[in-house]
Amino acid sequence: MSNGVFGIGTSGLLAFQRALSVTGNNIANSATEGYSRQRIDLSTRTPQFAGNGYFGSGVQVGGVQRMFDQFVEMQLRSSTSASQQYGLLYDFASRVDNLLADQDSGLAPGLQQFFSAVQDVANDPTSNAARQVMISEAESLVDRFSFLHQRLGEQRNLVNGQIQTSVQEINSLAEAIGDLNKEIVTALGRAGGAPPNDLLDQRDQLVLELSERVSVNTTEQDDGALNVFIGNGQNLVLGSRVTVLAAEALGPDINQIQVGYVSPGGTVDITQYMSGGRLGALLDLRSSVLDVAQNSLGRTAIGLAESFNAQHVLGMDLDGELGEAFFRVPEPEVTAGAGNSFAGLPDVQITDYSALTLNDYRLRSNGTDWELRRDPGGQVVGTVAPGATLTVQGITIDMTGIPAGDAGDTFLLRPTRNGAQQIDTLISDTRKVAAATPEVLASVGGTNTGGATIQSVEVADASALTSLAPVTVTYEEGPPTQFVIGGDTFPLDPTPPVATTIAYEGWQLVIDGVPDDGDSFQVSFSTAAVGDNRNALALAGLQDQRMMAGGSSTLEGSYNTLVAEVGTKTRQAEIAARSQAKLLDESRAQRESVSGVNLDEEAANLLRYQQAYQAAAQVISVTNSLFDTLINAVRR
Amino acid sequence: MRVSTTQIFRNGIGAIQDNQQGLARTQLQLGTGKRILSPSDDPSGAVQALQYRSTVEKTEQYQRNANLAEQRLRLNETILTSVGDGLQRVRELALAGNNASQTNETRSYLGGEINQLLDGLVQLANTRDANGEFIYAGNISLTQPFTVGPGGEVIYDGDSGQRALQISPVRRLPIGDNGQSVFMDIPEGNGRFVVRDVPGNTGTGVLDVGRVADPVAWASDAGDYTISFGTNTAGEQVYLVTDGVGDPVEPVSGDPDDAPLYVAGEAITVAGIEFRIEGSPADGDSFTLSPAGNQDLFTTYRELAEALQTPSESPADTARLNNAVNRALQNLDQALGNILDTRATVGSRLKTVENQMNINEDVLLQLKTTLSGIEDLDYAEAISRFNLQQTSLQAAQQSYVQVQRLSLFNYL
Repeated sequence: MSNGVFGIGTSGLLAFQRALSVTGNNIANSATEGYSRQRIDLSTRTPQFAGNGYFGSGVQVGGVQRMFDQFVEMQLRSSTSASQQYGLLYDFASRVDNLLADQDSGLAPGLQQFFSAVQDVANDPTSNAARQVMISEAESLVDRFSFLHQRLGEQRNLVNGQIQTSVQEINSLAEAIGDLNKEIVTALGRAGGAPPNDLLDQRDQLVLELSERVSVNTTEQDDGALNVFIGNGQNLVLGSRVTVLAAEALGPDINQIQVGYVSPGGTVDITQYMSGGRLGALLDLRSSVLDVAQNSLGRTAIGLAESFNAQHVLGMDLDGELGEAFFRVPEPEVTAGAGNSFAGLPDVQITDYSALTLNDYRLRSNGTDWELRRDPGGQVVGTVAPGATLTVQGITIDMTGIPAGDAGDTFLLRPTRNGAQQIDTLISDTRKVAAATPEVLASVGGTNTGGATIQSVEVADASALTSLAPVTVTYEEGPPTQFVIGGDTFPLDPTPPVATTIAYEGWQLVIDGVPDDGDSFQVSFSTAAVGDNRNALALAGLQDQRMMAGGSSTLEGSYNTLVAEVGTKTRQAEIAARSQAKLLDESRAQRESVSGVNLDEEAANLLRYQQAYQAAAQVISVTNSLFDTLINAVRR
Repeated sequence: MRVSTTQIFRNGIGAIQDNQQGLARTQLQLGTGKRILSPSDDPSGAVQALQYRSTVEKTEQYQRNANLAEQRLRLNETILTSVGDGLQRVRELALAGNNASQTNETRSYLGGEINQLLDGLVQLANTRDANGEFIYAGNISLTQPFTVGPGGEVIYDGDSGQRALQISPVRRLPIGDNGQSVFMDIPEGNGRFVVRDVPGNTGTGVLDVGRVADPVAWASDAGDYTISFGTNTAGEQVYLVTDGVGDPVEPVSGDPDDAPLYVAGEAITVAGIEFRIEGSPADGDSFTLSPAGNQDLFTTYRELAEALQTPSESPADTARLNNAVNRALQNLDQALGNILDTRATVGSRLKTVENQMNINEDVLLQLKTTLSGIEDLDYAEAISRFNLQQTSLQAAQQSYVQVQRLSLFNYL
């Protein structure tokens, strides 16, 4: 019997020692990230039958359990993914947003100042200073375009770099999870099913860190291993087997870092399936903020260059010559797919800047024809046969010399991507600013003998003018009776009253009557009209012309649309980041509620187990004194 | 709900950080005076602000344009006033020259003064603005528009261009007139027709101004006519009218015996035009009637000066002088009318500019008010928010310290 009480006391001592060690461990790990508090399970030992009933025989330790809720953990993972995603998206997007809408570095003030300078030329077309200011403002506007483009490019490089970093981190986390899976399976087997709590905590912590990078799904196997899936079901960790992700250029653009899934059959592009976490934010940012911003800037640059040039070449400069192109018009970017079965690029031109969209395109062969698809998205916007041309959404694709190719051959077309980078000023000489509108004059030759007179002369189609050099119109009696300019002939219109209309290279001359053979008429341009500001007024008027996006917005308006778009995106990201942070707090609180260590609770446990331990010791002491009593009694 | 020690810590720090963020933001708003610190604070407001700011700058540019237009128009007005003053003086001199009390010598002084005024007029017509542009040269504005030829005639080298400035989004205002319309294209005579004596007349016939008696007839027959004097077989003085190519019109036969008798001061009617000849023209004298063309102001001055400086030795000379002065007076009146019209146009443009400047000023004020409403801070609201945030930050800090002090271990 005394043996029994001894045993009971000893079992209590041992059990409470363990309990105190669990409590101590809880206190020690109260600040450990991912630690779940542990609880000792105590149970009674098997009772012994002693004739008149069952007598308890002490306490035993059933096991150490971690306080953990699988549902709460999953909630925490998804909140972490979303919170990281929107937080990072907001960070990056607000940088772009601040850049675009900045009062000093944004495009809007540059456009405004440039057009103001054009107005000043209209105010004072002969002033060299006003012309110089206009050219300088054009140069600084072009600089602004390229500055903004470069800043966006820097963000793009940063994003590409971070995608690579994220993928590397995902790989090493996956590796670590695989290793832990192995250890956990072994530990479980060795302990006959007793959970290795601290290893499980470590693994959950790694999965949580993984979900900061990308959204994950998990399932637990019977043997204790955790399988991790990303994207739309790609397995990252299966037991102890880990699949590696690659971050490299998988498309035609060698600078575009994509996420690849490395399988024995080759690397598959799974970029489009990646969502959530930092990786999701980076990919979203690249396609919906940076691409849109650079394309939109490029489109504005192309619109400015094309429209300004179109009006400028109608004008006349201070040297009495037709205006030249003022801006260099950016060219579309065309890249061939790396695996194309032939060399060569289609010729892509911007033919209608007002119809341009912000889309990029992929031209993909189906073996017989080429399909033009939006990229990303994939909607087919047109089909073109080899050797034919296709005009769609403001661009014209000339496939001359391009064969049908193998199915899957591809070209990447980005009509507007580099517009802001490539726009440049072509005019540096102030005399070349075409502020005047050419005025055509006509006079009757001094030695004419016939009575023909000039009824009228006018510029009928300014865009058809090729030169402002004087032209002589000579009459020949022939036959046939005709007017001659160089090699061109214009027959006399004999129907009375005789008046012949001569339309030549954009101007139109009407001569009344029939001249004598050899009579001549001079057509010249008022090249000394340096005070004419009509073309400058027309150029300044472009500022308010709705020419972009199918005639729905002005140059400034199209830029403002971009600012609004990025602003809204940033705003959304900010709101989402805030609400996700709240949700994350909530999930954390829930996890803490279940798994967190409360020091007061542990202090109470400490006291409780200490007292129990002291009591158990007392049991042994009492048993001992009972034994002494008995011995003493016997000795007497 | 169970609360872990970490959670208590996190809650406390979280509350403090939230409050600090809010406070920092309000502080920045107070510091900058702007409600929108970054565009994502209010994307539509930020874009509106961009648009308004751009419209403000555009309007300020229109205002600068309008200022320039006003300067140019004022310069124009000043020049036109001087030209008008000169014209008035020439007109006085012409009237004085017509006076019978003048001698050849005094008349030549008058002619001399007109020549001086002519030089002044050429200078005025070649006025440059502050930028060195000739204001009456049309678009050929860097080339002197009026040059004096070897025979004293003034040639216009400008063109008929007219510069306009944009003074509002929809308003282009001409800021000057070309020399052609101001000085060159001035109708002769009374603006409809002109009658003049033919040089070499030996009689003393003096023309009056004449009038259009039958506008319909003149409108259909407007052409050149010559009225020449002769004698019929009865020895009476008659006049014959021929048309531009020399065909007789009155009488149709061309026979002096059929021709109407000349009575001094009685109306002569040709193709709807009625005019009178005073004095006694000599046989063979003739007068012409033609539709009014244009005569530039310089030629009018020069002809008048020449007429006044030509010595008058005979009654025929006096008649020639009278005819020349009468004609010059008509031309001067036409020119004065033209200058006055131009001045009136300049005046109305000035009025337009002033109105537009006032409108632009109002628009600017409105725009700036709206812009301020969009992006500027409501200080009263922001300051009270600041106080509230300050209080709640203090509360969070204090409660954190209090809670941290509570621990069971303190009592062990």
